[in-house]
Amino acid sequence: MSNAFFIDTTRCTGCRGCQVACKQWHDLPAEKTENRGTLENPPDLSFSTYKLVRMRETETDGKLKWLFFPEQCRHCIEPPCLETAQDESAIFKDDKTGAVIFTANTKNLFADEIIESCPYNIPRKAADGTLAKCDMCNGRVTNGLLPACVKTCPTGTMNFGDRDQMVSLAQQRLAQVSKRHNSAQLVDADDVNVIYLVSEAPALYYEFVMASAGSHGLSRHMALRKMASPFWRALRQLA
Amino acid sequence: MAIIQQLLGNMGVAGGGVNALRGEPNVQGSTDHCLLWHIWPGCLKTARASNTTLAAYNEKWTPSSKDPLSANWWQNYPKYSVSMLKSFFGEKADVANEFGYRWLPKVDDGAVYSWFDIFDAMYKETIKGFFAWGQNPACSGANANKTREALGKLDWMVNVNLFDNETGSFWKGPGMDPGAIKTEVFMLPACASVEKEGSITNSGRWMQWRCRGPKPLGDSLPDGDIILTLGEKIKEVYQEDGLYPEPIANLKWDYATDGTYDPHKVAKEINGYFVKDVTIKGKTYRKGTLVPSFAFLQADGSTSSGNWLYCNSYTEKGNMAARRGQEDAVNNIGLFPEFAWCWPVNRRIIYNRASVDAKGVPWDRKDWVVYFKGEEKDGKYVSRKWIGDVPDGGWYPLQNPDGSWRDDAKHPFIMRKHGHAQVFGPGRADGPFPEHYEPLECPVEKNFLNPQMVNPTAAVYATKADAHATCDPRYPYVGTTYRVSEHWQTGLMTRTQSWLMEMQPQMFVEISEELAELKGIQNGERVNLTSARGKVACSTVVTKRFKPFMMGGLTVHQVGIPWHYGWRWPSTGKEDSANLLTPSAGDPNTRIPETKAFMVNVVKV
Repeated sequence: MSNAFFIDTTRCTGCRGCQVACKQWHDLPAEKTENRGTLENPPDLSFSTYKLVRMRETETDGKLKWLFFPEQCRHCIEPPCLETAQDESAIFKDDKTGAVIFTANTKNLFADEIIESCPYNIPRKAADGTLAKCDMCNGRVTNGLLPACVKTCPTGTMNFGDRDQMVSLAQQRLAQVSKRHNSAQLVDADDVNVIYLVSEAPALYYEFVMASAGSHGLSRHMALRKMASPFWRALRQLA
Repeated sequence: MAIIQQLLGNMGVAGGGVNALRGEPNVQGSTDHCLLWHIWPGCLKTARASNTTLAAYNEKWTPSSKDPLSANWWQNYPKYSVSMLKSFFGEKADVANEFGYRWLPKVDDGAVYSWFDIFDAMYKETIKGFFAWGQNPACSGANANKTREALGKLDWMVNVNLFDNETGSFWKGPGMDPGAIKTEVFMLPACASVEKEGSITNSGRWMQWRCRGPKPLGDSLPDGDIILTLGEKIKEVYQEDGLYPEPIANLKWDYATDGTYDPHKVAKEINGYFVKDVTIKGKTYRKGTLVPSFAFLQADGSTSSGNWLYCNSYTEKGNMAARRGQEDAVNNIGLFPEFAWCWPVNRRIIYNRASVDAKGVPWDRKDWVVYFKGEEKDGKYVSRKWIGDVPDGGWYPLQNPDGSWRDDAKHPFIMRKHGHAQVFGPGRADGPFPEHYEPLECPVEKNFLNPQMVNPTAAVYATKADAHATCDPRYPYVGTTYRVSEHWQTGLMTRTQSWLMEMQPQMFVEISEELAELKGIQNGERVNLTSARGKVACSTVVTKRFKPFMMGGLTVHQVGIPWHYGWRWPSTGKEDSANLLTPSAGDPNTRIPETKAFMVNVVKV
């Protein structure tokens, strides 16, 4: 049984403690930013930003909602990036925790192909082509600690534990939240180890909340399967 | 809020009361120990000029009640004031010199010495020297341009802080001519809270002792060391040729161990000592031992206590604030009585006898605070026993189980003269009830709720730096200030942190989509925000969270700004404080500045 995150966005206040904790634990440098007319910053995930709280304002039925989405790698159960890479020294999965890990050897991969393979648009590359993303704080987790983002979260948004426990917590919260929010749902829960609960339509939070097929024009579920299929792999290798 | 909570019966109960959301973790502790001008430690009154003698002072501030059921706890006032004076002046304080009362400065009757008044006096050049101790007034106070100008009129300023800031470097700030400023500035680097030992007191009045973590960096020192050393030097100078040396020379100042500041000595001084052998109820307490609790303090000079409220915090049993017991009390409501220490006498919820009925039985049987469990005989209570929290006085309940009233009981609100909660009372400048007034600056020409436009007792100032503009077409929009989670206070500890600056890099103004359209402002565009007092450059955040609203038939636009920025960091020097815009107007009782509602304009650059 692997680990999983349960991220309850209905509890998120956008404090971004998780975003800083991630940088602190991984000792990642700050990016030079400016205020671009939003409180969301830095503007995107990057080689030195693995976690980013997306912020969107939306009005439904005259009611304002300020939606927060703490974005990170989903640690897919069948990771398309891993299948695409076909190089265990570059991308591998820790079967014990379920963490999908990128190493320095990602430098030898076709970075754009790996990025393209991700249905959630997560990996980012350095100037030399090395890829980086959330590593589930695997070093902390294998030593009995919570991931840094979960440890720091003051609201109960970020949860982490055995997958079955997280799934059950997610379902329990979904049942509660559904009473007040018709659109409440768990996002791609069967396919990923980072299960998000959203109370509004996923597209209102951010473009890549649900698995998408990127430029391939497939349905999201198809995309997940296709990415991982031997046929797709073969096609990629040919390319 | 206090009135509503009282009417709801939410006093002294679990989950009741009013929780003050403080801007610092130790606001409670600092005000307990005399941060504000109008009170001495332990909420004792600052002496007025008309309180010419200690006897007159005690007489003036000691209330009396003719109700035998009123504990009227402040009847003990002289015990606390004299013990405090003994703590200040030690052996130098005796009956003949009124325990040093005559050496203490008195405030003029009717005069106010708040933050605003200090900077007003500085601006008018009546205050010539200034210690900015762990503060950044050049950014933190309303009407910061006035403050910055006032700093330039000083002879000297000592800036005690972790880092250089807009206050210490005011003379080279925006619009300043360093060559024309005479103020001599001294920087004393202080270490951070985790680099020193001592206590903080949170808003729940829990005094929590904290050990030192890492050693202070470089030449920085705990502020205890700074003030101790300063005090020693000042005493030296006064002893040599002081004009009136007694108040300084006679100050008890023995808080060093091996040449450095010892926080335990100060904590013990705050708790207080028996300064001679004292026999109370047949038990003798030796000179030099710590006083067990304020019930033992005396008005004859035989005890000392720097702050009577904290008497019981550091006793012969040890440092109570350093306790880390993990057990909850019997009522299991999260009191954790052996974790740290709570004033008064480790009582976690004050006025807790208001949580029981006249027979001592909790109104709330589930989450009860205290419960009277004395023995009962023939329908009468015959022994006293309360369980749960430390009761607010251990007297019998007002009523016996058979319904008869007792004459040895006390009303629950023991700090009130007559023992009862008060919906209103004397002492408020604008009392007895709250009333709606328009802010000093507002977009409408009349108060729609009552004929009086603005609070007639509000504090306003009259220098040329105190400009106001109400219903003025030059400043048509309502401005308000707030905080963001990424920065703290004036940002001195956060604007230097790259991870936090990555998230909140620049001063910004939030405006509605409607106002953006009206003014032709693009999201993210730099604009100037102006008021009658100043100008601040901001990045625009166009948001649905601000909406125009109707007021007296007018469409009113409101804009919002955070207050954490200053020109010193980030190094571009282009971000500055929201307080350049805010008015120096304060509420009549506490001088809380009116930074939540004032008038501004949004100007395209």
